[in-house]
Amino acid sequence: MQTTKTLTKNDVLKSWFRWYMFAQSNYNYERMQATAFAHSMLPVIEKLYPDKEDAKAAVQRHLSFFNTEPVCGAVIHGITIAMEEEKANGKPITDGAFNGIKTGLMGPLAGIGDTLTQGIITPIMLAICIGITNNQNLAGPIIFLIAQFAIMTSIQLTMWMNGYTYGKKAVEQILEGGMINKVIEGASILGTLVMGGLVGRFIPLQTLISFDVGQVKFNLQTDLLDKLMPGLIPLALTLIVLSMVKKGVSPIKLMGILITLGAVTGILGIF
Amino acid sequence: MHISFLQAALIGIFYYLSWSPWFTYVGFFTFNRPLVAGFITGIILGQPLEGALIGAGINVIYLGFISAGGAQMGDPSFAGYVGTALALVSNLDVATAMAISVPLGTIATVLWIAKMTVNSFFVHWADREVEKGNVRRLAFINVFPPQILLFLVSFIPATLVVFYGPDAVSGMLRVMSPSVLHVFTVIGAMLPALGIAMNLKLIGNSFTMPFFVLGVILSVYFKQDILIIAIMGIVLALTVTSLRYSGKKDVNV
Repeated sequence: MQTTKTLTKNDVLKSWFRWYMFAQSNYNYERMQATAFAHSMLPVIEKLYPDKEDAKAAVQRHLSFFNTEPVCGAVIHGITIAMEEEKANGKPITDGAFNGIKTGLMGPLAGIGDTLTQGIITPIMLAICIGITNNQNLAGPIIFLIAQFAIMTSIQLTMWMNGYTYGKKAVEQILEGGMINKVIEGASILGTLVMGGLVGRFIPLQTLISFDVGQVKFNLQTDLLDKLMPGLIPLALTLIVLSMVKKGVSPIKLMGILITLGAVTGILGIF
Repeated sequence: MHISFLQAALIGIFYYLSWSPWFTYVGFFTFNRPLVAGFITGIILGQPLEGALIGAGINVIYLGFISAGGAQMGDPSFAGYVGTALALVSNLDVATAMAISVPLGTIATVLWIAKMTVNSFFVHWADREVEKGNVRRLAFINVFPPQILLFLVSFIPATLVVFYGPDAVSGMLRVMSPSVLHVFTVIGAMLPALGIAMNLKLIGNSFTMPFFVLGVILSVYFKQDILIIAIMGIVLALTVTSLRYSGKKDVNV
């Protein structure tokens, strides 16, 4: 009769810290975050499998292709740790089961994670802190640094610990509950509003075109466009670029187009 | 302003650190962004506020920057550190700094691709060591070889461009007339449209786009600060979601 092997909270935290640091350290085209995943599992594996061959087999199963968003995807690691603990205590969990869980969850969580961390939280925090900086205030970059560390670390740690504690149920809650939709929708409203604010701040395009109409000078910007809707040119430019992005024109190509457009309109005196 | 080799090397080191694990994974969300890059470069060059302002401008272009599945649209960090350094030394205004940073960031994507390719070899090294039973070796392989490689492909190019670049930029500026500089200003004013559009591709839809138009009006017509607009955004987001989701909890929309 075997004694039960249990992990302490400290073991789970040690494992998390390795992922927190080195998730992208050896990011590569062949297996993406594979070595980082296995690296983060080492403290758990060494504790659970005193037998060298068992430990080796455990590391090897986690050296397979793995790629997710490191913050929200951390729930997968939590689940994996819980599974390893059960396996070490005699539950017949196959390598295929580990792989199934990991590859099945990494895609959806990468989608949600990238949207939340790179698409919503970071741009909103940036927009606010860029705004603060622009008022000649150095608090901008400093607040940004502190806030990002606090937000990202706490999301990742919560994901990791909940994955370990609640296992698969945790993910089902995240993926299937209405909560995540509500959060993403609310954040999207905030995000789009703030993006609009940035258009006004950072795209100060005003046309220089003017005509002489009889005795009076007619300035296209002040006499017509500003009366129709201020910020019409920056708004139109952004919407045109957006429609091209949606059509699949690559960002690098769009940069080229914008640089050319800026050069031509600048030389012609349109702007 | 003259840039010493030590200053150039410090900027190179921070550029390396911004892609490294040493600031934890959150380094990617902080030291990697041009806002922070500009601030740090400014501190190294003795002009923190100017640096932060230039970094803030460059960052708008990369607002929609998303690195997903290893694909990249340029290197915002390179544009941030190197672009700010060149702009400060050559006394460029923010719009011109933005215009010169973008090509820098685009070229630097090559460094990322090189790293991602060579790193694949280290995975095989890890396979071999684990096969031999050296399980702990994996920790070493996941950290040190890729970091030495990253240091070489990031520190060296960034330091060299920061150290030798200002001559090229000032040579370029000398032959430029004010009208050419005006063209740079126009380009600098157009590029943020890309960063904003990239982000809107993700969060903009028929339901949220009216809020985007509202944001433009608040900023251009009512001349509100981003901070005030963000606070209004939070109020709107809370109100709208609680209205839309009231009474249909746990239902996918």
